[in-house]
Parts: sequence; C-alpha cells; structure tokens
Amino acid sequence: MNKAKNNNKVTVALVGNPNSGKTTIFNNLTGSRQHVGNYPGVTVEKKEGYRHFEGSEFVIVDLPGTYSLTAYSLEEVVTRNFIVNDKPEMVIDILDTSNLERNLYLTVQLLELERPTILALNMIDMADASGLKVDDAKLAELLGGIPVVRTNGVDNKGMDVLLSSILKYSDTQNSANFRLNYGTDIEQAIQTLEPLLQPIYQKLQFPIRWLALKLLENDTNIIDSVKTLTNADHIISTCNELRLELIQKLGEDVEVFIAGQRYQFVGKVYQYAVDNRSVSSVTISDKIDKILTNRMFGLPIFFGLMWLVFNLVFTVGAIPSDWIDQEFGVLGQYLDTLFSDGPLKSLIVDGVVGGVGSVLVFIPSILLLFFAIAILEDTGYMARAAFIMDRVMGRFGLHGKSFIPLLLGFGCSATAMMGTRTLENPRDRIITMLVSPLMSCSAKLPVYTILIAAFFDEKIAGNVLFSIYFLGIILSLLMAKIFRSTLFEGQSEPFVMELPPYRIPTAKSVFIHMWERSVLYLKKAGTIILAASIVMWFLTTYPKDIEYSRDYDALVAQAEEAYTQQISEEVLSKLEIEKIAENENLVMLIDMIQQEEEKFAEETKELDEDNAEYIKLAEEKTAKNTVIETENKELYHYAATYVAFTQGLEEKKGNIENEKSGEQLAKSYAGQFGKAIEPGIAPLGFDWRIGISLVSGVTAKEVIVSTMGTIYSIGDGNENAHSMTKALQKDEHMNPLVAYGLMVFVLIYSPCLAALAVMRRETGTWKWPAVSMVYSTGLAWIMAFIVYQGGKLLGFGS
Amino acid sequence: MPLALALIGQKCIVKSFACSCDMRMRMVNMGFIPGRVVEVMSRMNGALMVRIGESRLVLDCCLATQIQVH
Repeated sequence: MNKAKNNNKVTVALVGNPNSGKTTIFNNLTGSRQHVGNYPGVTVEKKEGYRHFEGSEFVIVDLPGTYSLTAYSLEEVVTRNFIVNDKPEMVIDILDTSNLERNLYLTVQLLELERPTILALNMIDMADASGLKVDDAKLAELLGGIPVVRTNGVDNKGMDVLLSSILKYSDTQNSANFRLNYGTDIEQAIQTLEPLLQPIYQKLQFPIRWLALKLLENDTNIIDSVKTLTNADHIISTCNELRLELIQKLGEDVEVFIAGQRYQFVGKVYQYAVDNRSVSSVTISDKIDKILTNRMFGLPIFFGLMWLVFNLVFTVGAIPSDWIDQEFGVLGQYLDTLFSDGPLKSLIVDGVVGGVGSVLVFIPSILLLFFAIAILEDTGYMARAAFIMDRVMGRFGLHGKSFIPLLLGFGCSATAMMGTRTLENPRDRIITMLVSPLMSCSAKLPVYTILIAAFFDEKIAGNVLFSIYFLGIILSLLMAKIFRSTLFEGQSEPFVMELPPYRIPTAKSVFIHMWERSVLYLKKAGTIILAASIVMWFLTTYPKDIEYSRDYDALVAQAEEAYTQQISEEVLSKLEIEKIAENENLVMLIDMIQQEEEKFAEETKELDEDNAEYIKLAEEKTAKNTVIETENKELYHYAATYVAFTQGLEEKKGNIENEKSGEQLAKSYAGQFGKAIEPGIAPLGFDWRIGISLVSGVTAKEVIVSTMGTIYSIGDGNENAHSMTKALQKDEHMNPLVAYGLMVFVLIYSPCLAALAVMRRETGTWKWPAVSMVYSTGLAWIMAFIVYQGGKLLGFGS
Repeated sequence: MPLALALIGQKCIVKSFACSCDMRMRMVNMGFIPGRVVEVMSRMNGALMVRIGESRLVLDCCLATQIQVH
C-alpha cells in the first residue's frame, strides 16, 4: 500500500552509531542540496537535505551519531527529542553490518520510540567480503517485522531501494509490534507506573512504555520534563520507591540492568540472524593497527604523517597560489586602466581588489589542508592519532581527544572550537578552546609567508616557518598545563573512544568534507574580510584635507626646473642646439638607450640586485651600450647624459610622491590610531603601520595581510600587490628580527572575532572569550618582547 | 583484577565499574556490559586498545584501573 502523500514533504530521520556510514548515505541521498544549521539552544549541528524521488519530496535529517538514547550526551538527547517531537514520517536506522551487535543495541532503543523505522544494513559489501552472513528475514522477524534494506553507501548501492521503502512503509506503525521483555521485576514496575502516566504521557509526546522505562532508568532529562507537569510529585515519589526496591532485588543499578537486558536480547538476535563462523577474528584493521599504533613506530609514523600534511599544504599549495597572485596583479592593472582617477577607483583597486586578492591567494593551501584533514578523518586515522597522543596530551593537562580540535586549529581556530564538542567535560573543552588558537591557523600563514619571503633566505624559509608553528605547539601545551593547574584544578575526564575500522575514503565524501569547511572559511573571507578591507581603505585614505608639513607640489616644480637647467647646460648648449628634437641622430640614440633601460627594468622587476640573473642581465645591458657607443662616438655621451638626468627626475618625483602619501597615511584616521598605540608596541620593534595591521587583524587574521597591502602599497604609490615584499624590505623599521617578532606576535595574540564568537556560543558566557583575548595578547607581547630585545642583545636586527 | 593489569591478548570478562555514574553508563552504551568478553589488543603509554564484540575501543589507564574484570 502506497501511503506516500504526493503533495506533502516526507520527513526522514537518519540515525546510527558514529562511524556507521550515516553521513555518506546522507550525502548520497541529498547530493549538494544540503543545509547546515544548529538545533535550537544547543550546539549540536543540524544537517538537513532535500531529495525528489518518484513524485515525492523528501526532507532528510542527518541526526548526530550516537551509541544509545540515554541522556548522557547532548547528541543522544537531540536525537531522541527530534524523533519524538518532530515525528518524522520515517526513521532510517543505519547499521555498520560488520559491527551489528553494538549497532543493534541502538536499534532496540530506537524501536521503543514507536516511530516507523527501516533498518539499513550498511557497508554490507565489507561484511560480505569478511564472510559474515546476515539473514535479513530472520532479523526483521525478531525485531517485530520492521523492513530491512541492504545498502553500501561507499559505492552508492541500495539508495533507490531505500527511498522506495520509505514511500512504501511511511505512516505504518511497524515498530509498534516490537516489545522487549525486561524480565518480571522491571515489567512489574512498568505496569505499576503506566496507569499513573496515562493522564500525562500524551502531553509529553513520549510513548508510555518508554516513559516508564526512562523514569526507572533515572533519566534526568525525562524526570525534569515530568516535574514541570502538575501532579508530578506522586509519580516521582512512586518511581523513586520502585527504583529502590529494584536495586535491592537486582543487586545492581536499574539502568545498568536494563542495558544488560538489551544487550542480552541483541545478543540473541545476533545469534539467530547472523552467521559469523567464517569471519576471522583478526580483521585487516587489526593488522594495520599492529603497525600504525605500535609502541615503537606509532609516534614516528604519526609525526611523519603530520610532516607530509604540512608539506602538502604549504609546498604544493604554493604552486597554484603563485598563479592566483599573478592573475590578481593583472586584474589590478586592468582595472587601473578601466577607471579614471578618483575615490571610486581608489576604493576598487586598493580597497576591494587588494583586500580580496590577498585572501584568495591562500585558498589552495586551505583547500589542501581541509583535504588532508578529511582524509585523516575518513580513513579512521584521526581516532588513532588521539590514542597515540593521549599520554602526551595528558601530561599537559589535555585530553587525548583534545588533539583533534588542536589539529583543526591549524586550519581555523573557529573550526577548532567547534571541534571541542567531542569533549564531554566542560573543563577540558574550555582549556582546549583557550589554547587551540595557539595552533597557528591557516589565516595567519599569509602573514608568515610574506614576511619570510621579504626577510629570510629561501634556503631557511621552511625552517623559519616550522619554528613558528613549533613555538605555537609548545606554547599551547605549556598554557594548557598552566590553565589546568590554576583555573581548573582537579581530575581530568577519563578518556574512551571508538576506533573505527580503517576505510578507503571515497572521493565524494572527502570532497564534500573539504568543500563544507572551505566554504565556511570563504564565507568569512567574503563578508567579514571584504567589509574590513573597505573600512581599512577608508581609515587609511581619509581625511583627505590634511595639512602637509611640506609643499610637495612646489618640490616637484623645483625638481623639474633643475632638470631643465641641467639639460640645457650639459647637453643643449654643448651641442649648440635649442631643443633635443633639432638633432635627429640624438633623438634616435636617446630612444635606443631608453628602450634598453626599459627592457632591463622590465626583466629585472622581480629580481634582487645580487641575484645571478640580475648581474647577467646588467652585463648584457652594458655590452649593448658599448656597441651603441662605438657606433656613435660623438653623440653617445650626450644621449647617455640626457637619459640619466631624465631617470633621475622620475626617481626624484617618485620619492616626493611617496613621502607625500606616507605623510597622508600617517595623518589618516588609521595612522592616528596606530601612532596612539605605537608607544605600547615600540618595545617590540613595531611601528604604527604594524600597529594598525595588528588591530585590524582581530576582525580576522586574513585581514592583517590585506591591511599591510593597503598601507604599504599606498605608501609606495604602487598598486601592484606583488611588490609588497619589496615595499616591506624598503621600510627602514623592518629587518629580519622585527619580522620574526611580528610573526611570533601574530601567532599568539587575540583570536579573531569569529573564533571569539564561537567561543561565546560554546561556553555560553563572554567570560571565556574575554579571558582568551586578554591572556593571549599579553602572552604575545611578552614573547615578542623577548624575541626583539633578546635578539638585539645578541646582536641581531641590524 | 583491574583491566589495566590484563596482558596483551588476554581475554577477560567485564565484572564491575568503580567509575562515576555518568562515565559508567557511557561505557555501558559503548558495549562495556558486565558479563561480556573484553580483549586487550595493545598498549600505548598506559592507554589500552581493547576489543569488545566487534568494536575496538581505546581507554586511558585511569579508566582501565576502574574497570574490574576476571
């Protein structure tokens, strides 16, 4: 009987253990039609997707992975509340067939919620291959006749069968037939409670038998909701009496006994419906674990893999980054010719293109980082990493699981803070949140790469970068230790987690994983950063009507006058002509020399003066000039003099222009602010320009680079983003020591607004974001001070 | 004896828990039910990797000392 409501939406809830392949099935069913939000009031992620199938529109909800439906974790409560309150037309219970027994433990609890349910035996291919034989019909029969479907999410098998089963069975009460017998003692207690619950159970929407069981299990969440009703006192007191009686009769806690009964039942189902005689007790995963979690090799392999991830992200990522960088340079030049000079052009070329461009350059690195994390997670290695790191982390007052958010911290601090949800204990969560920003996030990378490119030799660039990351790791561990022994004294939470079997990740799930996170980053980049870039552009460009300390226009006129006089004295009068144009040979010669100079300037644009290539090109130029000279002995001297003077004038005018825009920037709003905080950061060797960049970086770390781009490109009167390293090198305040101190400061100081906002949401108070901001900025100052002053004492920094 | 003392490869039966109420139920939900067989597979700096049913779980030494097996 097809009861699907053709014009209505069919809501389907996906439930299952962690690592049962639930998310893969969700992705298969919905494709890209997904929406990620949060459950009201809690921080558990709510994923919804849509699917059209045989004339029906499905709303598919991916509920959080959970082992049980008790109230010991947020995920459990969210899952059961969704099923009870939102009454989905169908619940799909996704099981890892290879681990059927533990997965069925959730199934029996799910069936007690009395919603229509379909079992999906997922990853059936892997179970088949290992020799496991499941009798679907028997399984269905033992579980009260619920439909059983075979699926294999990894290669998209069984999805259509699943969808048509939903249409076929939705709105049937197929799970109402299921009843687990908990033994006389418990059953009697249920019978005593049920009449009392009769008047109230509909208000709470829970099935009556389930409600009675949960009260006996002492489920705090359910007891609280019963207490809100009138006449609840009697129910609660009866329930307490029953519990005390039962504890005496059973000799153990009621909830443990009930769980035991469920396991016993599941064990029997497993025995009858599953033939595992030909399954080897040592799985392939066990064999892999013998190596990867080996006492001797585990840690070296782990660090080796982390090193690989690093190189993938930072070395391979640099190739497309350079390409994007060039394209943005071209775009900037093109826009430069498109608009006429004025505020709009300045806004677009300096503010928008400059700001967004410097962010987009780092997309390849970010994509690769999330790609690497997705691979680590989807293969199952991430859980092993937590196991390997537990003791190390424990020594610093952190949890083995803290490792995962800390690792995510290399991608994005905000993501890392979301990742602390895997920690159950609030203390562990807060400590992890406080120290995870010290794991240098990918947004800080642009700052390092630009500074390293400008001030450090290519040969040591990798080491310098690694030292910064390493410092971050050391500091985060030290700070965790300090927080643990000051703010959070006491026992840390015991550590237990499941190791999923190793799997070969599918391209699709890795891609979706990577994409979701990168989009999250880009949304931030697209909105906050663009806004911040425009604000920074405004602050650095206005006010326009400032009083300059010198009359720059007069200086330009002066220089031009001096130039005319020099030409007339050195060239015109000696050749006894009035104008250059009078001597055609001279004009031709000047053109030739100028062309050579222009060609040389173009070719050496991106080269240092001590570069071998540069020296070679310079020699070539001299050789060509010598040829020209021997051909035109008489006039060459005058032509060369003319060219030299003209070049000198251009340079002088450029310098005056730079000074002017430098002063303009110094007197802009941003400059005023930077100057105001300069005394505070002067002991670190930072000037006001760095001050502005750092302040703007609190909005988002990516902004530091775009601000520096704006400040330094305006200061140089040069819109080409590529010349930023050159602009930094020219700045007299900057040297390798200051650059290193700046990197240290950027590494440590206040998390960005997004991270602080997430922290507020996760902890429920502004206290912790405030603590985080203050302590990290203080620590950054101290560390940068040590670097700069210590470095000066040791004789660096000249 | 506590699970922490079990040898690698040794199969034991879960007897009881000495840990806090919340933690105990979480262990139960992950499959640590009194009467089930647990096998220690490897050890890493005191943390244990165990097999219970078809699941592979890791637990730290503190937790492993609180689980009684025989």
